[in-house]
Amino acid sequence: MPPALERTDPAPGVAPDDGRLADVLAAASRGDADAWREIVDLYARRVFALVHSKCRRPDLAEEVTQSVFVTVASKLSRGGYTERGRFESWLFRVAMNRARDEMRRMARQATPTDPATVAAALDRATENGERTRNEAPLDALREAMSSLSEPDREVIELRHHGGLSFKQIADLLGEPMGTLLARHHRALRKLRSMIEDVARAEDEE
Amino acid sequence: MNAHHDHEFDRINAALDRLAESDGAAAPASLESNVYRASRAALRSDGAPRPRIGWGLGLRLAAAAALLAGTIGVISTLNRAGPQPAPAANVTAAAFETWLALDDLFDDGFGTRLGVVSTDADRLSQPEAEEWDDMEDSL
Repeated sequence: MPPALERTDPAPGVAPDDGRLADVLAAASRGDADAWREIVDLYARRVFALVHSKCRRPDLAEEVTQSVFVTVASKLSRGGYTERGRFESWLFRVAMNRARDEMRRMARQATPTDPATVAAALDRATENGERTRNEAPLDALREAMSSLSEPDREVIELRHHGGLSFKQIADLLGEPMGTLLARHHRALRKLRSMIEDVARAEDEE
Repeated sequence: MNAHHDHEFDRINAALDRLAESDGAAAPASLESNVYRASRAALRSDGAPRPRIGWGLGLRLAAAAALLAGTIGVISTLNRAGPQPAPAANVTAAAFETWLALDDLFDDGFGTRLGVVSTDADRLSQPEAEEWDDMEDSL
């Protein structure tokens, strides 16, 4: 059993040491239950967060997360994956594809959202009193996220929910780094603009 | 968590990180245990890589067996069909056809090795072959 990996959550994005990860993956692929448990502990919540961001249903997100890890375990044990420092990209590619399939199956499509809708969501969140002060802006941000194009949203979700580096995202999506950075920048600008519109509207009231 | 160079987006980046945390927190506390239990069975425990024996090899073996059975049938039929001008030639031709088919099926050299064995066997059964004559002459 290789030395324990350090968990990266709740601050994902800090990749575990590649050598250790390779050791743990090798052990897991040989059927080492403890090693597999470490992999699950390290990544399950990040995969869940990514899927939940898309479907917003905890039960479905957990189901998809489980199926992702079943797929990964199966591939690992059959020698279907060779660790070359790209495990996270591979894992989240599986997760993205599975989540996308599930969304297609549910025929759930993002509807365009304008600032007024975002503001309404913020109002509802504030009025019903069930949300805390911190959660209300998150609802608005979530609404704003749904107005992004699917490719823009994917970059944001892989970056923040998956905690991947830009290089890992570029690997995963098969896109040049420059294109990816431009897309991320554009998505952030759109989100910021929408949130600022909401704040401005609140100030005017 | 993201060391984005562009500080103008610091606030939105931080908000997105909080959103990601919130999405992760929507999971039940038992998420990791549930995922582990669900996926554990997909891992093997013997440690050895699984041999990849698929239908390809099985089908090739079945085809080889069928070819051999067919050839034996042809030979038997030829042998029972009364006097033949050159039964040995027919048998050799049938064996050769089988040979070519086997050679195609086993592209890893098995056909070639089988060919060597068969040729040697033919030579042993034909002591009057030229090689023997030559050897005898040289003695």
